[in-house]
Amino acid sequence: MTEDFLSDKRPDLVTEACAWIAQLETGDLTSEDLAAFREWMARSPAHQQEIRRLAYLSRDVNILTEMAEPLKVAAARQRALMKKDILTSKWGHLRYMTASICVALLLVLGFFFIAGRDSPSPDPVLITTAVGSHRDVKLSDGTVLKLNTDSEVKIEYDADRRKVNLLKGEAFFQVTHNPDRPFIVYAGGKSVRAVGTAFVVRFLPKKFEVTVTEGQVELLNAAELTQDNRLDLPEMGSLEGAGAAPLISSLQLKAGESISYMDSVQTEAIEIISQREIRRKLSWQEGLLDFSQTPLVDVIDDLSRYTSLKIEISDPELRDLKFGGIFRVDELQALFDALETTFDIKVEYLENDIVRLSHH
Amino acid sequence: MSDSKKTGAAGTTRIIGSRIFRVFLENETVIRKFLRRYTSNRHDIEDISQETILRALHAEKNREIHEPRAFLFGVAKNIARKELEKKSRSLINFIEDFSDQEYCSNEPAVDDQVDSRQRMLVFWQAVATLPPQCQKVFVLKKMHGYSHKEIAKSLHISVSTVEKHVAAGLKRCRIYMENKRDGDVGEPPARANREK
Repeated sequence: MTEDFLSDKRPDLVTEACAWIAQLETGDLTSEDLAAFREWMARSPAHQQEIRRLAYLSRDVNILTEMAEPLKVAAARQRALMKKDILTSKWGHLRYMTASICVALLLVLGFFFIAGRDSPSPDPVLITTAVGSHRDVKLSDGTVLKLNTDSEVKIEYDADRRKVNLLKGEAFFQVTHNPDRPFIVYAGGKSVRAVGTAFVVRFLPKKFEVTVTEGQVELLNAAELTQDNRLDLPEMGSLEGAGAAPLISSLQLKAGESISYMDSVQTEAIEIISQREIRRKLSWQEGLLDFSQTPLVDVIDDLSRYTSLKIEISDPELRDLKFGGIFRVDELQALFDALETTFDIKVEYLENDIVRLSHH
Repeated sequence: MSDSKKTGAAGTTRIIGSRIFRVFLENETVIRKFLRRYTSNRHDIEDISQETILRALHAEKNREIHEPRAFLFGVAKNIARKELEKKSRSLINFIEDFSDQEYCSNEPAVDDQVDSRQRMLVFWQAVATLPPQCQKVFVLKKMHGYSHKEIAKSLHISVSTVEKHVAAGLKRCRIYMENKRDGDVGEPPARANREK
């Protein structure tokens, strides 16, 4: 079809059209420029279609302003804060560092896993992230591991199983399919078992949560594991046989399902969540925090994982305030500004890295 | 806007007793600060903030406003958005003028296909992958509403360099949005692809 014909030329067409849009947005065009633009537009309907499309797209990109912070004010305040190096807005820099660490890690991992094929139990590999940073690692079997802020995993692959122990924090796994070598994540006395799928495990002091984005996992809740955090679990089959074992329960989670255990709440229920909710739960991978109708107390809980600031809510009635918006992890200031401007919340920066939120 | 201005002295007395006006005065600084998200231009901010109180006063005449502060921010945001829209409109109109009249796109607007929150994320993914300087320029332009000249001045680069960065950023957004439309929700060219 004509698509094929177009596709050869299109990259150039898009580049040219983008250049034109940028030039038009500058605002001052000479008559020669205009003549050149007229000539360019006249070349083909494809040219016109492309530039129209880009003009609309350029307008749509304006939606990003919703995510921005009032730059100058925030910059000034941030400078004051940065002197004490309170805000851990190291995201940007860490990215480059992370890249090199990742490469180094991959080399190390590669070595271990190559060596691992011969020896039955290779030494485990520990991967960690600092507060405010995140890290992507591709493991030897092709599985992608993304670690969120302040997290720690221990990886132990052997011939039969791929074991990952999430010691703290949050990790996303895009597991390479291999039915002969199940992939098992252990955290807080529970295990999540997958064959080929993608899921997030969140293991925080007060909360354990698993969200499946692709495929299916088997979640095993074994209270006895909390004692020694040991990695050797009996196979699923033998558990089913045990049947009445009161301390161990197993359940299936499918894509789009999420389950969480709170410290304070005993009940567990599988929650079916929307695509949008899933995207929100994964937004940290893009360096974003995404809230929608989230109680302020949860927002602050979440936020606290990304910064060394201690954020306090001094008025109890603020705790249940519903908050929404998308914020960059490296610009938490924007979030504080939003609290101030849209919720009339007073944000005070106190000594010892304390930020206090109260009614005006 | 001009209607309210015409009310003159009678309007003034009404303004003085107005609750919304009092709330506006109390929050004027914060509102202006808030508006800086949408435009860096001082005059625009002034205009929008004026327009905000005029509209709010008008609204107050017709009904009781329960959350005056939230209401004012809502109005300010709407006006600011419309202004942004107007600016982009002029570019769109300019291009439409240059297009052949008989040609008409039957392609649905991006809005119809991808919701705004999702759009924001797609654009952000695109922006996040830009080289640092290019990203800086694009963020100043698109997120903070600076003009090409202002950006060139503050970063000590030429306007044509700014144009190049803006074009590159736009192209990246275009590619990401196209992938999105094709249903490829998956991985952007992530760092995770680095292997062995």
